[in-house]
Amino acid sequence: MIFQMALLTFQNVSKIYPPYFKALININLKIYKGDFVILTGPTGSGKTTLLKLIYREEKPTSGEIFYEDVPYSKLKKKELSLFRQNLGIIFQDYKLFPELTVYENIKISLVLSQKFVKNDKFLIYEYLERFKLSEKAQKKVKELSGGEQQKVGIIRGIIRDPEILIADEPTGNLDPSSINEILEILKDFHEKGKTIILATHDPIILNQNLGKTIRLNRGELVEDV
Amino acid sequence: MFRYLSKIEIKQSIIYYLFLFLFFSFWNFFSLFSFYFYLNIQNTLQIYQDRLAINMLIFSEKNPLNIFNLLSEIEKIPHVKNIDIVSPEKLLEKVKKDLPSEILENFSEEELKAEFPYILKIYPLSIKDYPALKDRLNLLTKVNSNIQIYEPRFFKLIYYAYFLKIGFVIFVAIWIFFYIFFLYFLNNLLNLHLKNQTQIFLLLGGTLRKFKLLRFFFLVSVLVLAFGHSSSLFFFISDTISSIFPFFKHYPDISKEKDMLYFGIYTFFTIFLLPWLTILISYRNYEI
Ligand SMILES: Nc1ncnc2c1ncn2[C@@H]1O[C@H](COP(=O)(O)OP(=O)(O)OP(=O)(O)O)[C@@H](O)[C@H]1O
Ligand SMILES: [Mg+2]
Repeated sequence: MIFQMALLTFQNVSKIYPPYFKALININLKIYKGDFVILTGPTGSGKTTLLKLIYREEKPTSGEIFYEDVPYSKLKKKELSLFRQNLGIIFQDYKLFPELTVYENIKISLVLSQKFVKNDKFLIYEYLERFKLSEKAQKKVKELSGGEQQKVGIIRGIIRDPEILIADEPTGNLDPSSINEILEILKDFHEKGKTIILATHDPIILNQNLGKTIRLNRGELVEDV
Repeated sequence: MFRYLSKIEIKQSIIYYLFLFLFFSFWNFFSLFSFYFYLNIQNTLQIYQDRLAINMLIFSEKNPLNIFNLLSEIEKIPHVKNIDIVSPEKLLEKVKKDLPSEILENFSEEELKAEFPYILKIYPLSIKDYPALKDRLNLLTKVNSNIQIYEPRFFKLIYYAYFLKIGFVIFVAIWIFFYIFFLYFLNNLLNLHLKNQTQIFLLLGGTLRKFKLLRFFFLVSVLVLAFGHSSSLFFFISDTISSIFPFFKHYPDISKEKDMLYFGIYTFFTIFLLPWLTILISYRNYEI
Protein backbone atom coordinates (compact mmCIF):
# COMPACT_ATOMS: atom_id res chain seq x y z
CA MET A 1 0.00 0.00 0.00
CA ILE A 2 1.33 3.44 -0.91
CA PHE A 3 1.81 5.94 1.86
CA GLN A 4 -1.15 8.30 2.16
CA MET A 5 -1.13 11.41 4.27
CA ALA A 6 -4.09 11.69 6.64
CA LEU A 7 -6.48 14.54 5.90
CA LEU A 8 -7.12 15.21 9.57
CA THR A 9 -4.99 14.05 12.47
CA PHE A 10 -5.78 14.33 16.18
CA GLN A 11 -2.65 14.08 18.28
CA ASN A 12 -3.21 13.57 22.03
CA VAL A 13 -6.13 15.98 21.96
CA SER A 14 -7.94 16.81 25.19
CA LYS A 15 -10.67 19.33 25.71
CA ILE A 16 -11.57 20.66 29.10
CA TYR A 17 -14.49 23.07 29.34
CA PRO A 18 -13.90 25.62 32.03
CA PRO A 19 -13.59 25.23 34.87
CA TYR A 20 -12.74 21.52 34.83
CA PHE A 21 -15.17 19.44 32.78
CA LYS A 22 -13.25 16.90 30.71
CA ALA A 23 -15.22 16.59 27.47
CA LEU A 24 -12.50 14.83 25.48
CA ILE A 25 -9.57 12.89 26.88
CA ASN A 26 -6.39 12.20 24.96
CA ILE A 27 -7.87 11.52 21.53
CA ASN A 28 -5.64 10.07 18.79
CA LEU A 29 -7.31 9.75 15.44
CA LYS A 30 -6.56 9.84 11.73
CA ILE A 31 -9.14 10.54 9.05
CA TYR A 32 -8.15 9.94 5.41
CA LYS A 33 -9.46 11.46 2.26
CA GLY A 34 -12.53 9.58 1.10
CA ASP A 35 -13.31 8.14 4.53
CA PHE A 36 -16.88 7.82 5.73
CA VAL A 37 -16.47 8.17 9.47
CA ILE A 38 -19.39 7.53 11.78
CA LEU A 39 -19.01 8.98 15.23
CA THR A 40 -21.27 7.47 17.81
CA GLY A 41 -21.67 7.21 21.56
CA PRO A 42 -24.17 8.11 24.22
CA THR A 43 -25.47 11.58 24.83
CA GLY A 44 -22.86 13.83 26.34
CA SER A 45 -19.96 11.63 25.28
CA GLY A 46 -18.24 14.42 23.36
CA LYS A 47 -19.26 13.89 19.71
CA THR A 48 -20.21 17.50 19.05
CA THR A 49 -17.14 18.67 20.90
CA LEU A 50 -14.92 16.58 18.64
CA LEU A 51 -16.57 18.03 15.54
CA LYS A 52 -16.28 21.56 16.92
CA LEU A 53 -12.57 21.01 17.27
CA ILE A 54 -12.41 20.06 13.58
CA TYR A 55 -14.08 23.23 12.36
CA ARG A 56 -12.37 25.22 15.08
CA GLU A 57 -15.36 26.55 16.94
CA GLU A 58 -13.44 25.29 19.97
CA LYS A 59 -9.72 24.96 20.52
CA PRO A 60 -8.16 21.92 22.21
CA THR A 61 -6.94 22.40 25.75
CA SER A 62 -3.91 20.26 24.94
CA GLY A 63 -2.65 18.31 21.96
CA GLU A 64 -2.73 19.36 18.33
CA ILE A 65 -4.94 18.83 15.30
CA PHE A 66 -3.44 18.77 11.80
CA TYR A 67 -5.01 19.48 8.45
CA GLU A 68 -2.80 17.41 6.18
CA ASP A 69 0.53 18.37 7.73
CA VAL A 70 -0.43 21.86 8.90
CA PRO A 71 -1.12 22.25 12.61
CA TYR A 72 -4.31 24.22 13.25
CA SER A 73 -2.57 26.49 15.71
CA LYS A 74 -0.39 27.75 12.83
CA LEU A 75 -3.35 28.63 10.59
CA LYS A 76 -3.73 32.34 9.96
CA LYS A 77 -7.17 33.97 10.02
CA LYS A 78 -7.36 34.04 6.25
CA GLU A 79 -6.26 30.41 5.92
CA LEU A 80 -8.76 29.33 8.52
CA SER A 81 -11.62 30.95 6.63
CA LEU A 82 -10.42 29.35 3.38
CA PHE A 83 -10.35 26.00 5.15
CA ARG A 84 -13.88 26.52 6.42
CA GLN A 85 -15.05 27.46 2.94
CA ASN A 86 -14.14 23.92 1.90
CA LEU A 87 -16.17 22.37 4.69
CA GLY A 88 -19.85 21.59 4.65
CA ILE A 89 -21.10 21.69 8.20
CA ILE A 90 -24.50 20.49 9.34
CA PHE A 91 -24.88 21.71 12.90
CA GLN A 92 -26.79 19.85 15.57
CA ASP A 93 -28.49 23.12 16.52
CA TYR A 94 -28.88 24.14 12.84
CA LYS A 95 -27.31 27.59 13.28
CA LEU A 96 -29.44 29.34 10.67
CA PHE A 97 -30.00 33.06 10.29
CA PRO A 98 -33.49 33.41 11.74
CA GLU A 99 -34.30 36.72 10.05
CA LEU A 100 -33.33 35.59 6.56
CA THR A 101 -35.44 33.46 4.25
CA VAL A 102 -34.79 29.82 3.49
CA TYR A 103 -33.46 30.79 0.09
CA GLU A 104 -31.13 33.44 1.50
CA ASN A 105 -29.74 31.12 4.15
CA ILE A 106 -28.74 28.63 1.50
CA LYS A 107 -27.50 31.24 -0.90
CA ILE A 108 -25.10 32.71 1.69
CA SER A 109 -23.45 29.35 2.07
CA LEU A 110 -23.07 28.99 -1.66
CA VAL A 111 -21.63 32.46 -2.10
CA LEU A 112 -19.19 32.02 0.78
CA SER A 113 -17.89 28.74 -0.62
CA GLN A 114 -16.67 30.75 -3.62
CA LYS A 115 -17.56 27.90 -5.94
CA PHE A 116 -18.66 29.06 -9.29
CA VAL A 117 -22.20 27.85 -9.90
CA LYS A 118 -23.72 28.72 -13.25
CA ASN A 119 -27.32 28.89 -12.18
CA ASP A 120 -27.42 28.95 -8.42
CA LYS A 121 -31.10 29.74 -8.19
CA PHE A 122 -31.93 26.64 -10.16
CA LEU A 123 -29.60 24.56 -8.02
CA ILE A 124 -31.09 25.83 -4.78
CA TYR A 125 -34.62 25.10 -5.95
CA GLU A 126 -33.56 21.65 -7.06
CA TYR A 127 -32.44 20.84 -3.53
CA LEU A 128 -35.51 22.46 -1.98
CA GLU A 129 -37.69 20.36 -4.26
CA ARG A 130 -35.86 17.26 -3.20
CA PHE A 131 -36.62 17.99 0.45
CA LYS A 132 -40.15 19.17 -0.30
CA LEU A 133 -39.36 22.71 0.82
CA SER A 134 -39.71 24.71 -2.39
CA GLU A 135 -42.94 26.31 -1.22
CA LYS A 136 -41.20 27.66 1.86
CA ALA A 137 -38.29 29.18 -0.04
CA GLN A 138 -39.30 32.76 0.68
CA LYS A 139 -40.31 32.17 4.27
CA LYS A 140 -38.23 33.39 7.13
CA VAL A 141 -36.38 30.55 8.79
CA LYS A 142 -37.78 31.41 12.21
CA GLU A 143 -41.24 30.61 10.87
CA LEU A 144 -40.35 27.00 10.02
CA SER A 145 -40.85 23.86 12.09
CA GLY A 146 -37.87 22.19 13.74
CA GLY A 147 -37.66 19.46 11.12
CA GLU A 148 -37.92 21.97 8.29
CA GLN A 149 -35.13 24.00 9.80
CA GLN A 150 -33.00 20.90 10.03
CA LYS A 151 -33.56 20.26 6.33
CA VAL A 152 -32.46 23.81 5.49
CA GLY A 153 -29.34 23.22 7.57
CA ILE A 154 -28.63 20.06 5.64
CA ILE A 155 -29.11 21.67 2.25
CA ARG A 156 -26.88 24.54 3.28
CA GLY A 157 -24.12 22.09 4.19
CA ILE A 158 -24.21 19.93 1.11
CA ILE A 159 -25.07 22.42 -1.62
CA ARG A 160 -21.56 23.82 -1.64
CA ASP A 161 -20.24 20.40 -2.61
CA PRO A 162 -17.51 20.51 0.05
CA GLU A 163 -14.34 18.43 0.29
CA ILE A 164 -15.24 17.42 3.83
CA LEU A 165 -18.80 17.11 5.07
CA ILE A 166 -19.31 17.30 8.81
CA ALA A 167 -22.80 16.31 9.91
CA ASP A 168 -23.84 16.46 13.56
CA GLU A 169 -26.97 14.32 14.08
CA PRO A 170 -28.54 15.45 10.84
CA THR A 171 -31.54 13.20 11.26
CA GLY A 172 -32.57 14.01 14.81
CA ASN A 173 -35.86 15.67 13.90
CA LEU A 174 -36.72 13.95 10.64
CA ASP A 175 -39.19 11.34 9.44
CA PRO A 176 -37.93 8.06 7.88
CA SER A 177 -38.45 9.15 4.28
CA SER A 178 -36.34 12.26 4.78
CA ILE A 179 -33.71 10.17 6.53
CA ASN A 180 -33.53 7.94 3.48
CA GLU A 181 -33.20 10.99 1.24
CA ILE A 182 -30.24 12.11 3.29
CA LEU A 183 -28.67 8.69 3.27
CA GLU A 184 -28.86 8.68 -0.53
CA ILE A 185 -27.14 12.01 -0.71
CA LEU A 186 -24.44 10.92 1.73
CA LYS A 187 -23.76 7.76 -0.25
CA ASP A 188 -23.50 9.78 -3.48
CA PHE A 189 -21.07 12.05 -1.76
CA HIS A 190 -18.97 9.19 -0.58
CA GLU A 191 -18.89 7.66 -4.04
CA LYS A 192 -17.55 10.92 -5.45
CA GLY A 193 -14.55 10.42 -3.17
CA LYS A 194 -15.46 13.06 -0.62
CA THR A 195 -14.80 12.75 3.08
CA ILE A 196 -17.71 12.50 5.47
CA ILE A 197 -17.71 12.73 9.26
CA LEU A 198 -21.11 11.94 10.67
CA ALA A 199 -22.10 12.00 14.34
CA THR A 200 -25.23 10.05 15.10
CA HIS A 201 -26.92 7.53 17.31
CA ASP A 202 -29.71 6.89 14.86
CA PRO A 203 -30.07 3.09 14.55
CA ILE A 204 -31.27 3.33 10.93
CA ILE A 205 -27.94 4.84 9.95
CA LEU A 206 -25.81 2.75 12.28
CA ASN A 207 -27.26 -0.46 10.84
CA GLN A 208 -26.28 0.46 7.30
CA ASN A 209 -22.59 -0.19 7.83
CA LEU A 210 -21.59 2.82 5.77
CA GLY A 211 -18.01 3.16 6.87
CA LYS A 212 -15.61 3.31 9.72
CA THR A 213 -17.37 3.65 13.09
CA ILE A 214 -15.77 5.44 16.00
CA ARG A 215 -17.29 5.19 19.45
CA LEU A 216 -16.88 7.75 22.19
CA ASN A 217 -17.71 7.22 25.83
CA ARG A 218 -17.33 9.96 28.43
CA GLY A 219 -14.83 11.72 26.26
CA GLU A 220 -12.68 8.71 25.56
CA LEU A 221 -12.24 6.89 22.28
CA VAL A 222 -13.50 3.42 23.09
CA GLU A 223 -13.01 1.55 19.87
CA ASP A 224 -12.31 1.83 16.20
CA VAL A 225 -14.79 -0.64 14.82
CA MET B 1 -23.64 39.22 0.14
CA PHE B 2 -23.74 42.71 1.63
CA ARG B 3 -27.46 42.73 1.05
CA TYR B 4 -27.99 39.72 3.28
CA LEU B 5 -25.59 40.93 5.91
CA SER B 6 -27.32 44.31 5.99
CA LYS B 7 -30.55 42.52 6.69
CA ILE B 8 -28.92 40.67 9.56
CA GLU B 9 -27.31 43.82 10.90
CA ILE B 10 -30.28 46.15 10.57
CA LYS B 11 -33.35 44.08 11.25
CA GLN B 12 -32.76 43.39 14.88
CA SER B 13 -30.73 46.45 15.74
CA ILE B 14 -32.58 49.37 14.19
CA ILE B 15 -33.37 50.63 17.67
CA TYR B 16 -29.64 50.95 18.49
CA TYR B 17 -29.08 53.04 15.38
CA LEU B 18 -32.00 55.24 16.32
CA PHE B 19 -30.40 55.69 19.70
CA LEU B 20 -27.14 56.65 18.03
CA PHE B 21 -28.94 59.24 15.93
CA LEU B 22 -30.43 60.90 19.01
CA PHE B 23 -27.23 60.73 20.97
CA PHE B 24 -25.02 62.16 18.28
CA SER B 25 -27.48 64.91 17.41
CA PHE B 26 -27.37 66.00 21.00
CA TRP B 27 -23.62 65.54 21.35
CA ASN B 28 -22.74 67.42 18.19
CA PHE B 29 -25.15 70.26 18.90
CA PHE B 30 -23.78 70.70 22.37
CA SER B 31 -20.17 70.49 21.17
CA LEU B 32 -20.63 73.16 18.53
CA PHE B 33 -22.39 75.41 21.00
CA SER B 34 -19.78 75.08 23.67
CA PHE B 35 -17.11 76.06 21.15
CA TYR B 36 -19.23 78.94 19.97
CA PHE B 37 -19.72 80.30 23.48
CA TYR B 38 -16.23 79.59 24.60
CA LEU B 39 -14.60 81.32 21.65
CA ASN B 40 -16.88 84.30 21.99
CA ILE B 41 -16.14 84.61 25.68
CA GLN B 42 -12.41 84.40 25.00
CA ASN B 43 -12.82 87.03 22.37
CA THR B 44 -14.56 89.44 24.66
CA LEU B 45 -12.02 88.71 27.34
CA GLN B 46 -9.15 89.55 25.02
CA ILE B 47 -10.64 92.95 24.37
CA TYR B 48 -11.11 93.56 28.07
CA GLN B 49 -7.75 92.25 29.07
CA ASP B 50 -5.99 94.89 27.01
CA ARG B 51 -7.89 97.63 28.79
CA LEU B 52 -7.85 96.18 32.23
CA ALA B 53 -5.86 98.34 34.61
CA ILE B 54 -5.78 99.05 38.32
CA ASN B 55 -6.29 102.72 38.88
CA MET B 56 -4.17 104.24 41.58
CA LEU B 57 -5.35 107.67 42.71
CA ILE B 58 -2.85 109.91 44.44
CA PHE B 59 -4.36 112.96 46.13
CA SER B 60 -2.75 116.16 47.32
CA GLU B 61 0.66 115.50 45.94
CA LYS B 62 2.12 118.66 44.51
CA ASN B 63 5.60 117.46 43.81
CA PRO B 64 5.92 115.54 40.52
CA LEU B 65 9.25 114.18 41.72
CA ASN B 66 7.48 112.15 44.41
CA ILE B 67 5.17 110.75 41.78
CA PHE B 68 8.13 109.63 39.70
CA ASN B 69 9.69 107.97 42.68
CA LEU B 70 6.52 106.11 43.35
CA LEU B 71 6.34 105.19 39.69
CA SER B 72 9.77 103.62 39.61
CA GLU B 73 8.87 101.79 42.82
CA ILE B 74 5.81 100.27 41.18
CA GLU B 75 7.65 99.43 37.99
CA LYS B 76 9.88 97.15 40.01
CA ILE B 77 6.92 94.91 40.89
CA PRO B 78 7.23 91.85 38.62
CA HIS B 79 3.54 91.66 37.64
CA VAL B 80 3.48 95.07 35.97
CA LYS B 81 3.33 95.38 32.21
CA ASN B 82 3.21 99.13 31.90
CA ILE B 83 1.89 102.27 33.55
CA ASP B 84 0.06 105.26 32.14
CA ILE B 85 0.02 108.54 34.02
CA VAL B 86 -2.90 110.89 33.95
CA SER B 87 -1.95 114.21 35.51
CA PRO B 88 -4.57 116.42 37.21
CA GLU B 89 -4.37 118.83 34.22
CA LYS B 90 -5.27 116.09 31.79
CA LEU B 91 -7.96 114.83 34.05
CA LEU B 92 -9.49 118.24 34.39
CA GLU B 93 -9.37 118.65 30.65
CA LYS B 94 -11.21 115.43 30.24
CA VAL B 95 -13.98 116.04 32.72
CA LYS B 96 -14.41 119.74 32.24
CA LYS B 97 -17.35 119.51 29.90
CA ASP B 98 -19.16 117.17 32.26
CA LEU B 99 -18.80 119.39 35.30
CA PRO B 100 -21.80 121.48 36.33
CA SER B 101 -21.37 125.10 35.29
CA GLU B 102 -21.76 126.43 38.89
CA ILE B 103 -18.59 124.67 39.88
CA LEU B 104 -16.66 126.12 36.97
CA GLU B 105 -17.93 129.58 37.81
CA ASN B 106 -17.15 129.43 41.53
CA PHE B 107 -13.72 127.83 41.44
CA SER B 108 -10.65 128.77 39.51
CA GLU B 109 -8.87 126.20 37.43
CA GLU B 110 -5.96 126.13 39.87
CA GLU B 111 -8.29 125.40 42.76
CA LEU B 112 -9.96 122.60 40.91
CA LYS B 113 -6.68 121.07 39.87
CA ALA B 114 -5.56 120.95 43.48
CA GLU B 115 -8.52 118.77 44.28
CA PHE B 116 -7.80 116.38 41.42
CA PRO B 117 -5.54 113.39 41.90
CA TYR B 118 -2.78 111.98 39.80
CA ILE B 119 -4.00 108.75 38.29
CA LEU B 120 -1.64 105.87 37.59
CA LYS B 121 -3.18 103.27 35.32
CA ILE B 122 -1.27 100.13 36.14
CA TYR B 123 -1.59 97.25 33.64
CA PRO B 124 -0.83 93.73 34.86
CA LEU B 125 1.12 91.30 32.67
CA SER B 126 -1.98 89.15 32.41
CA ILE B 127 -5.24 88.73 34.21
CA LYS B 128 -3.90 86.04 36.46
CA ASP B 129 -1.24 88.46 37.80
CA TYR B 130 -3.97 90.76 38.86
CA PRO B 131 -4.60 89.62 42.47
CA ALA B 132 -0.89 89.52 43.34
CA LEU B 133 -0.39 92.95 41.89
CA LYS B 134 -3.33 94.30 43.81
CA ASP B 135 -1.94 92.95 47.07
CA ARG B 136 1.37 94.69 46.48
CA LEU B 137 -0.31 97.97 45.67
CA ASN B 138 -2.54 97.69 48.71
CA LEU B 139 0.57 97.72 50.85
CA LEU B 140 1.35 101.17 49.46
CA THR B 141 -2.09 102.48 50.38
CA LYS B 142 -1.55 101.35 53.95
CA VAL B 143 1.60 103.46 54.23
CA ASN B 144 0.16 106.53 52.58
CA SER B 145 -3.43 107.53 53.18
CA ASN B 146 -3.41 109.82 50.17
CA ILE B 147 -3.28 106.87 47.88
CA GLN B 148 -6.38 104.97 46.85
CA ILE B 149 -6.91 102.00 44.60
CA TYR B 150 -9.81 101.23 42.31
CA GLU B 151 -10.59 97.94 40.65
CA PRO B 152 -12.14 97.92 37.23
CA ARG B 153 -15.81 97.11 37.06
CA PHE B 154 -16.89 93.48 36.49
CA PHE B 155 -13.46 92.45 37.49
CA LYS B 156 -14.48 89.27 39.35
CA LEU B 157 -16.46 88.07 36.35
CA ILE B 158 -13.60 88.58 33.97
CA TYR B 159 -11.11 87.10 36.36
CA TYR B 160 -13.07 83.86 36.67
CA ALA B 161 -13.79 83.74 32.97
CA TYR B 162 -10.06 83.75 32.41
CA PHE B 163 -9.77 80.47 34.25
CA LEU B 164 -12.49 79.07 32.02
CA LYS B 165 -9.69 78.25 29.61
CA ILE B 166 -8.29 75.48 31.79
CA GLY B 167 -11.77 74.30 32.67
CA PHE B 168 -12.70 74.22 29.02
CA VAL B 169 -9.75 72.04 28.06
CA ILE B 170 -10.74 69.56 30.77
CA PHE B 171 -14.34 69.70 29.67
CA VAL B 172 -13.41 69.03 26.03
CA ALA B 173 -11.29 66.04 27.04
CA ILE B 174 -14.11 64.55 29.11
CA TRP B 175 -16.66 65.34 26.45
CA ILE B 176 -14.65 63.58 23.72
CA PHE B 177 -13.99 60.67 26.00
CA PHE B 178 -17.71 60.45 26.66
CA TYR B 179 -18.34 60.15 22.91
CA ILE B 180 -15.64 57.52 22.41
CA PHE B 181 -17.01 55.55 25.32
CA PHE B 182 -20.50 55.77 23.89
CA LEU B 183 -19.37 54.54 20.48
CA TYR B 184 -17.47 51.68 22.04
CA PHE B 185 -20.42 50.79 24.22
CA LEU B 186 -22.83 50.87 21.30
CA ASN B 187 -20.57 48.74 19.12
CA ASN B 188 -20.22 46.21 21.90
CA LEU B 189 -23.96 46.13 22.36
CA LEU B 190 -24.47 45.51 18.65
CA ASN B 191 -21.75 42.86 18.54
CA LEU B 192 -23.22 41.07 21.48
CA HIS B 193 -26.66 41.29 20.00
CA LEU B 194 -25.51 39.81 16.69
CA LYS B 195 -22.92 37.48 18.16
CA ASN B 196 -24.62 34.21 17.20
CA GLN B 197 -25.09 35.28 13.64
CA THR B 198 -21.57 36.61 13.21
CA GLN B 199 -20.27 33.31 14.49
CA ILE B 200 -22.35 31.33 12.01
CA PHE B 201 -20.98 33.54 9.29
CA LEU B 202 -17.43 32.84 10.42
CA LEU B 203 -18.05 29.09 10.60
CA LEU B 204 -19.34 29.14 7.04
CA GLY B 205 -15.99 30.58 5.98
CA GLY B 206 -16.75 34.29 6.07
CA THR B 207 -14.58 36.91 7.70
CA LEU B 208 -15.35 39.74 10.09
CA ARG B 209 -14.05 42.25 7.56
CA LYS B 210 -17.40 42.46 5.80
CA PHE B 211 -19.19 42.97 9.11
CA LYS B 212 -16.80 45.72 10.06
CA LEU B 213 -17.20 47.51 6.75
CA LEU B 214 -20.95 47.18 6.95
CA ARG B 215 -21.04 48.45 10.51
CA PHE B 216 -18.86 51.37 9.48
CA PHE B 217 -21.15 52.15 6.59
CA PHE B 218 -24.23 52.14 8.81
CA LEU B 219 -22.64 54.13 11.60
CA VAL B 220 -21.34 56.75 9.18
CA SER B 221 -24.73 57.05 7.47
CA VAL B 222 -26.50 57.59 10.76
CA LEU B 223 -23.81 59.98 11.99
CA VAL B 224 -23.90 62.01 8.79
CA LEU B 225 -27.66 62.37 9.10
CA ALA B 226 -27.46 63.34 12.75
CA PHE B 227 -24.57 65.69 12.01
CA GLY B 228 -26.44 67.45 9.23
CA HIS B 229 -29.52 67.73 11.34
CA SER B 230 -27.92 69.07 14.52
CA SER B 231 -25.37 71.27 12.73
CA SER B 232 -28.03 73.07 10.74
CA LEU B 233 -29.97 73.60 13.93
CA PHE B 234 -26.81 75.01 15.52
CA PHE B 235 -26.10 77.34 12.60
CA PHE B 236 -29.65 78.56 12.63
CA ILE B 237 -29.66 79.33 16.35
CA SER B 238 -26.16 80.80 16.46
CA ASP B 239 -27.01 83.03 13.48
CA THR B 240 -30.01 84.29 15.36
CA ILE B 241 -27.93 84.98 18.46
CA SER B 242 -25.28 86.78 16.44
CA SER B 243 -27.85 88.94 14.73
CA ILE B 244 -29.33 89.98 18.08
CA PHE B 245 -25.97 90.49 19.82
CA PRO B 246 -23.52 91.70 17.17
CA PHE B 247 -20.50 91.17 19.41
CA PHE B 248 -21.16 87.43 19.19
CA LYS B 249 -19.08 86.36 16.23
CA HIS B 250 -19.78 83.38 14.00
CA TYR B 251 -17.90 80.20 14.76
CA PRO B 252 -16.98 78.45 12.57
CA ASP B 253 -16.75 81.33 10.12
CA ILE B 254 -17.25 79.86 6.65
CA SER B 255 -15.18 82.59 5.06
CA LYS B 256 -12.14 81.84 7.24
CA GLU B 257 -9.84 79.11 6.05
CA LYS B 258 -8.56 78.33 9.55
CA ASP B 259 -12.06 77.91 10.94
CA MET B 260 -13.01 75.59 8.11
CA LEU B 261 -9.84 73.53 8.63
CA TYR B 262 -10.69 72.99 12.31
CA PHE B 263 -14.28 72.26 11.48
CA GLY B 264 -13.15 69.73 8.88
CA ILE B 265 -10.84 68.01 11.37
CA TYR B 266 -13.64 67.88 13.93
CA THR B 267 -15.99 66.34 11.37
CA PHE B 268 -13.43 63.81 10.20
CA PHE B 269 -12.66 62.68 13.75
CA THR B 270 -16.21 62.41 14.99
CA ILE B 271 -17.83 60.91 11.91
CA PHE B 272 -15.10 58.74 10.42
CA LEU B 273 -12.02 58.10 12.52
CA LEU B 274 -13.48 57.47 15.99
CA PRO B 275 -16.26 55.17 14.75
CA TRP B 276 -13.80 53.13 12.69
CA LEU B 277 -11.36 52.78 15.59
CA THR B 278 -14.07 51.77 18.05
CA ILE B 279 -15.41 49.21 15.57
CA LEU B 280 -11.96 47.65 15.24
CA ILE B 281 -11.44 47.55 19.00
CA SER B 282 -14.91 46.26 19.79
CA TYR B 283 -14.60 43.33 17.37
CA ARG B 284 -11.31 42.15 18.87
CA ASN B 285 -12.82 39.27 20.84
CA TYR B 286 -15.24 38.02 18.24
CA GLU B 287 -12.85 36.04 16.07
CA ILE B 288 -13.30 32.28 16.31
N1 LIG C 1 -19.66 25.05 26.01
C1 LIG C 1 -19.65 24.09 26.96
N2 LIG C 1 -19.33 24.41 28.23
C2 LIG C 1 -19.29 23.46 29.19
N3 LIG C 1 -19.57 22.19 29.00
C3 LIG C 1 -19.91 21.79 27.76
C4 LIG C 1 -19.97 22.73 26.68
N4 LIG C 1 -20.33 22.08 25.56
C5 LIG C 1 -20.48 20.81 25.93
N5 LIG C 1 -20.24 20.63 27.23
C6 LIG C 1 -20.29 19.37 27.96
O1 LIG C 1 -19.42 18.47 27.32
C7 LIG C 1 -20.01 17.20 27.23
C8 LIG C 1 -19.99 16.71 25.82
O2 LIG C 1 -20.84 17.50 25.06
P1 LIG C 1 -21.15 17.20 23.53
O3 LIG C 1 -22.07 18.26 23.05
O4 LIG C 1 -19.85 17.07 22.83
O5 LIG C 1 -21.89 15.80 23.62
P2 LIG C 1 -22.54 14.96 22.46
O6 LIG C 1 -21.82 13.67 22.44
O7 LIG C 1 -22.56 15.74 21.22
O8 LIG C 1 -23.99 14.75 23.00
P3 LIG C 1 -25.36 14.63 22.16
O9 LIG C 1 -25.44 13.23 21.66
O10 LIG C 1 -26.42 14.90 23.16
O11 LIG C 1 -25.32 15.62 21.09
C9 LIG C 1 -21.42 17.32 27.78
O12 LIG C 1 -21.45 16.74 29.06
C10 LIG C 1 -21.67 18.80 27.89
O13 LIG C 1 -22.39 19.11 29.06
MG1 LIG D 1 -23.96 16.53 20.03
